[in-house]
Amino acid sequence: MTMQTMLANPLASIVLMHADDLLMLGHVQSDWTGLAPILEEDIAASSMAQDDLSHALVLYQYLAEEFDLDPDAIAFDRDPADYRCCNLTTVPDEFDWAVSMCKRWLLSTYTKLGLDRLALVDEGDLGDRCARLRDESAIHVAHLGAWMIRLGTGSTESNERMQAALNLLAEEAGMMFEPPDLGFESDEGFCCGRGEMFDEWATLVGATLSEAGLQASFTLPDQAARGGRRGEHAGHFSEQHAEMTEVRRAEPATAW
Amino acid sequence: MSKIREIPLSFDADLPPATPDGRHWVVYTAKRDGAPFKWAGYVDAPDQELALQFAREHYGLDEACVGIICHEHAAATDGPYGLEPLQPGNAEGEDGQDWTVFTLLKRGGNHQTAGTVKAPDADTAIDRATTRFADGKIRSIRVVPNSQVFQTTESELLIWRTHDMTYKLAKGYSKDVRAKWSQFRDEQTYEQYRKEDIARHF
Repeated sequence: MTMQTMLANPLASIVLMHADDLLMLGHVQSDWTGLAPILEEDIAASSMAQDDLSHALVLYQYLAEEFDLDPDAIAFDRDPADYRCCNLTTVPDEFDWAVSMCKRWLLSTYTKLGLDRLALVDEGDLGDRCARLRDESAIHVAHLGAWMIRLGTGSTESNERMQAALNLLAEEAGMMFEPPDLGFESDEGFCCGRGEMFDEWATLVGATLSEAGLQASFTLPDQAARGGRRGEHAGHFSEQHAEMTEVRRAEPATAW
Repeated sequence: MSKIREIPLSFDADLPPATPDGRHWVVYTAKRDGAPFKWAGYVDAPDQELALQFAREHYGLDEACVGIICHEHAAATDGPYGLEPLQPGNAEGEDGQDWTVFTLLKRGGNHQTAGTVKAPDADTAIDRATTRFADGKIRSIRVVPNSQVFQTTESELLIWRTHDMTYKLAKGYSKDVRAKWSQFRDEQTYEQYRKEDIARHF
C-alpha cells in the first residue's frame, strides 16, 4: 500500500490529524526546555512534550502497520499539504508562557475527547492504543487545567496575560473541529459527531475558564471553512515543518 | 538547537520583583502495590495539587512507580537520630489525631512509610511510634499528621508512560552508550586493521 492509500482512508485521516497535532505540539513545546518560568514546571513541561511526541509515534505506528509504511516516513516525508494538524498547533507562542500554556490546554482537552472516541473504535488494536493514550492525555489536561486556574486567579498581571493569550487563540481554536476532506460530509460522520464533540469540549474548557476568572467565546466553524485539517496551513506551519524535517531531508537514513 | 532559540530574549523594562519561593514538599514513591512509600526527593510548589503534579513528572518516571505521596517539609517532625538503633519505648495511647510514621532503616538511608499512630501532638506521636515500630534496627522516626499527607488519587494512578524512557535511567543510558561506544570502537579497530593489512600486502 502507499501513502496515498492511507491518506484516502477516512479513519486513517482521523488518526492522522491527532498524530499530527501531537507531533507538531511536542516539537514546538520542546523549545521551552530550560526556559520555562520555574524549574519544576520546566521539567514537567518537557516531560509532557516527550509524551506528545511519543503519543504521535504510537498513532503513526498503528498507521504504519495498517498501511505497510514506515512511521518515520509518515511523520516526516509527506507533502506539507498532506499534514492534518490544525493551525492552532503551530501558532507561534513567541516565548510567551501564557500563550504556550493556553494553547497546550486547549489542544490537550480536545485530544483527550478525540482519544475517548477512537478508544471505542473496533479496528485492529487502535482502540486499545487510544485507551492507553487517553489516560496519559487526561494527566496533561489535569496538569494544564490546574495551571490555567492558578494563573487566571494569581494576580492582575497573570490574569491579564492569560486573557490576552486566550483572545489570541480563541478564534483559531474552533478550527480544531474542522473535518478532514474525506467521508465526513455530515457532522455525525465526524467520529461520533462534530457538534457533539465541540459542545463537550466547550463545556469542559468553559468550566475551567469560569474557575480561572477568564473569558473566551468559541464557535464551531462552518463545514466549508478550510484550514490545516484539509491541508491549508498557515505560514507558521511551513516554518515549523521546514525546521522539523531539516535533518530528515538532509540525511534521510540518519538514525541515532 | 532550534532556530527559535536564536531569537534573543529582550525585556522592555526591569524585570518584575521575584515572586516568593514555593512551598517545599517532600516526595515519596511506591514501586508496587502494597509496598511502602520511600523517600524520592523534593519539589517546590504553591500547593499540594501542583506538588503531586510535579512529583509525578520528576520522580514518577525515573523508576517503577505506582503511587506518590507528599507532605510539606514543615509538616514533618523528626525524632532523635543517633549512632545506635532506636530501642522500643513504652509510650502507648489511642487519643488524638492520626499520624503517618516514616522510619529510617539505616544511617544515610531514606525514610519510608511504616504505618500510623494516634497522638495529640508530634512529640507524643514519636514516642508512641517508637514503641510500636522501633525494633532495635531502625535509626530514626519521622511523623506527619495524616491530614497533611497527600496522595495521588485512583484516577491519577497512571504514572508510567507509554514510551520507553530507559534513556532517563542511569542503567539505560549506560547500556545504550556502551553499545554505541563498542560499535564505534569496533569500527575504529576494523579501520586500523584494514589500513595495516593494506600496508602489509601492498
